[in-house]
Amino acid sequence: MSSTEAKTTAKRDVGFVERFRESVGEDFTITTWVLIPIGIGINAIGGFIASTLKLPLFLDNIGTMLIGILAGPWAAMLTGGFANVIQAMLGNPVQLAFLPVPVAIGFVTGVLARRGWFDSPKKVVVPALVLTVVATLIATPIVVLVFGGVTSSGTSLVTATLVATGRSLVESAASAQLMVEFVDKGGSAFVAYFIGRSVPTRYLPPQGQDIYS
Amino acid sequence: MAERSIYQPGESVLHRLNPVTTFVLAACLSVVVFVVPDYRLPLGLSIVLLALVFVARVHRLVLRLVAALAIPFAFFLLLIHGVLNPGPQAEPLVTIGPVTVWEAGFETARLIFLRILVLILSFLLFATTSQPQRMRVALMEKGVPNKLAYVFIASLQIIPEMRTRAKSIADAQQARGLDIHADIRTRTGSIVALMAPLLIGTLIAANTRALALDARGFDASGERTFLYDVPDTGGERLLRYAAVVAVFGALAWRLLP
Repeated sequence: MSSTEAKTTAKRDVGFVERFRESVGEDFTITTWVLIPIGIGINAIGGFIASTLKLPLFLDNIGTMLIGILAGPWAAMLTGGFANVIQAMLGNPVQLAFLPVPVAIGFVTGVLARRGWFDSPKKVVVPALVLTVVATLIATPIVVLVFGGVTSSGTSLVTATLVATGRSLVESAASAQLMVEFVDKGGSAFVAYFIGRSVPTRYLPPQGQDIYS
Repeated sequence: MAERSIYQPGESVLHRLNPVTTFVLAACLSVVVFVVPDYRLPLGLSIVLLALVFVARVHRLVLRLVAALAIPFAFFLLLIHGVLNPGPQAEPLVTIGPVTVWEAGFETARLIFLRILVLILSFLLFATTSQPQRMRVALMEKGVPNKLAYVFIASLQIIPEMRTRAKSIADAQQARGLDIHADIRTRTGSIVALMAPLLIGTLIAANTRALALDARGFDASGERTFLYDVPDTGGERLLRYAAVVAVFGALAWRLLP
């Protein structure tokens, strides 16, 4: 390979990195920076709403998904990651081990929103299913390797029942996780879509205005 | 406006440490116990951490939180591993009535429980002894962009605010006929009725906040000066490096033949 060739490849790489950085930077307007703590707040309030309505859900990723819809994947990844650390600061450090889950949820929601999958309530079925699968795939190894298959009481009860019927721990933990995530993440995707739609568009960042116009 | 983390004011050695040090130590300890497959290490560390909890005088809150997190966890671990999943070489440990606890399963449960206990104790110790504002200054001195530091502090501030707001919204919507005892479909539909006003209200407040931030030079570049001084001694730096070395040491010991 001649030196000129090497130089052009190098230049192309720099161009790619630059473009990537620019596209990430564009997502982070001052509105986005102000929205991120709100997303984290919504994540933290989800549990309160679920218990007020006596629903067997966590609803602790609605804020992350909402930021994904309104401001894109990068801001949503940051929201998910930070929300997890904040939960630890508020007294629940166990969640720290699940850090990759909300980060992935943020990223996937943001990308799907950009591809137009949050344009109408019917289309939200697809993100609801994709997010269920993504959350299960990432959470199950963590549950098995770090926690020996045990998480919150509800999920553990399902896991224990499945283990009692003679299934392996991994299989039981994965099935329990899939059931819980299907209801929780699937439901959350719809909730995020509808609460985003209820906000007057002038309060939304550019991506949110596109999606809900 | 106060940030409400679980920080407990105090004057102990742990309170005086740079928050970055306590965080790095908590993270490294949590990784090390998961790499080393011997229950005696997390057992020893748990005892040391418990002692530190008393040294820092944060035991009332920490022990309550540990109990709430660890007791159900221990119960299910014992149930799933000790009782239901006896493993290949099933040696009974104890039999109480119809329930047998198997030895191999009990050992697995013990190791996992102690690891999680180290994780819980070390991060609770970090969270109860690190004042959020000091943490912000310490992070920014370590080169964390001020916007990330803002997100961190703003989130801690906004959560109690939103919790109060969510309570009054829940009351208001119930006064308007929202039924929290209805069937599950109606209740699921009510999530939006509770969350949308919360979000809109907070967003309007956030617009004001964005203006205030702009006025205070949120986007400004250049050197910043801080109200607080968060010392970072050479000893602490050494402690942090030692913790990181311990993680790599444990990994090497585990992975190399």
